[in-house]
Amino acid sequence: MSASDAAAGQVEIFNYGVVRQFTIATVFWGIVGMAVGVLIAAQLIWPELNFNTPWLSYGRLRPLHTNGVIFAFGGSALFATSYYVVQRTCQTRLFSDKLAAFTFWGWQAVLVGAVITLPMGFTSTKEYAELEWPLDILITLVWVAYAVVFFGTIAKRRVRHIYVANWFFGSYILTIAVLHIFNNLEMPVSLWKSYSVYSGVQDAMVQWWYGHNAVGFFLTTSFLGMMYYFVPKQAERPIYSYRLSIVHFWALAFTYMWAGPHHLLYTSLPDWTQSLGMALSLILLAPSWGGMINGIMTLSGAWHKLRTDPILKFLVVALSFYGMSTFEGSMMSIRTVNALSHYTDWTVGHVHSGALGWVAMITFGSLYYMIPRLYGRKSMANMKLVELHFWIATLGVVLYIASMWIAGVMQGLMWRATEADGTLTYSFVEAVKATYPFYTIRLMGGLLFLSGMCLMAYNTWLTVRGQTKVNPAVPLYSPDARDPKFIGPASATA
Amino acid sequence: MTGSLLLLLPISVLMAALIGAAFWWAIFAGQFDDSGRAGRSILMDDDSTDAATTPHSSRTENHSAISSLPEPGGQDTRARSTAAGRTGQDSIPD
Repeated sequence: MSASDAAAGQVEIFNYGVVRQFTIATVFWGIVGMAVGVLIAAQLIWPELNFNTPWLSYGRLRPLHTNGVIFAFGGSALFATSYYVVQRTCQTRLFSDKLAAFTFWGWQAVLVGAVITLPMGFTSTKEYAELEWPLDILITLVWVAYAVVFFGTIAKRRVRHIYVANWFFGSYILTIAVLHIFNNLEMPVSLWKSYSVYSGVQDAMVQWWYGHNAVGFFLTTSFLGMMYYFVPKQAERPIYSYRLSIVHFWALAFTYMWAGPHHLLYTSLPDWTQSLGMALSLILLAPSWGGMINGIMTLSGAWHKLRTDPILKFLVVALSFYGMSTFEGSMMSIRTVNALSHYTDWTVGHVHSGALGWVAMITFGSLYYMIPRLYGRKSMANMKLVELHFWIATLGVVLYIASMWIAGVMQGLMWRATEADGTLTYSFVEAVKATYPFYTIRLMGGLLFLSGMCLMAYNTWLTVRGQTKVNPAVPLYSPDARDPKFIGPASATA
Repeated sequence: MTGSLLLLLPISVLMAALIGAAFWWAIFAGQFDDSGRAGRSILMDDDSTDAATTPHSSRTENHSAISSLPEPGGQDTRARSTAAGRTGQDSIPD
């Protein structure tokens, strides 16, 4: 007797619908977030590009850019991939379709709220937490629903083992909830104005405990979860060392929390806190590189595929940038290095090395894998466009970070240069003037990256238009099934 | 300064404790018992479009049947191999 007799037409199917919604949202917000980035980069060269209106001024648009790329683009990508991965690895449909739908519409409402309120000047001024209190509450509600859907799906899994990617996703969901709530504790005084419950250096500490963990959990741990599923799937090889994935996950989870003070070196934060942050930021290098090594070495025996497979190119180059950025970050956490780099464009270069090189490129690779499967196709409509996207994106990142390295180190050196009598050699505006050409190169890099994003949008449209949306059946049998009745070779129902 | 630390340190310690508890559960629930099979498990899950669009195994949103047949040998090969058959073939360090 097979399970299908018992099921008799009640075959469980995966919820690919919400995955499709978030995937399209990712592509859309990628263009929006990166376009705002290009605009503000251009404004640093031609300030008149704010057209003398408050809504287009740099100060108001910068957080729209950061929120757009981190939460709108990155967030939608994480919802899409985590919902896909948790269903397929747990071999069960999402815990609650209604809650999942709420996370989609709720999240889009937050993002639209950002697009409206940030240019209007409503801001808490806390970096990556600029949205005012009504949107903070909405984010909390969406996030709680997300946690329920994700952990509920794991709880109702059909297989015993919880695949490692889900540990990464789960920890990011829980940590972001804690970070968001505690950093955004605020007293509202009007509909769009509130005051943080913290102040002074205490607020700075809480802010950068949040800020660094936003990077560490929202942009690293979560995307590592993505990587741990899509790299082995695309390479058709298992993860190089599953044991290493477990070890570095737990090390990462324990260490990341403590790195926040490296944003506050040489400030009025107590020395011992600064030292703690610096030391743990250095230790963090090991678990981070564990992830990189694991991902890259998965290609062991399959390196030849890199020649012909642009999706693998994205995934592997993303991992290389991940290794680079985590090394750079640990080095920049050293006091003497930070004394030069802090407040310069080197920090901006570092951010974009991680954001464009790692986060965006691992997203591109993962989405190019996932999109065809969501729409009943074998591959993206035009693989040559995927290849072109890869080269444009890589060139864009390289131009961006190289120009910012040069600008940053130069700024640091110029700001600290003193004459023999102790006076400053350069005025601040002389350093600004010297930076100018590098802003132009950075703009070119950003434009290239945005063009790549547009290519992806076009290719996605070519791929999905006219396609029927597939919702495959959940395989009932598995060698690792929790219910002994269903232990058997992995196979689809019926 | 002590204000924020009185908040952050207990939160961090609590989170570390929760993480420790989760780790403890994972070990004793056998999550890490067979990492070789665990690593391969996602490769055995057939998420290809062929598998998704065979008539028995999909429901499309406009309810029309997709008539592509599964490729012979494609998903069958993977479906046949069981965990038991795979031990000893690992060349990957565990």
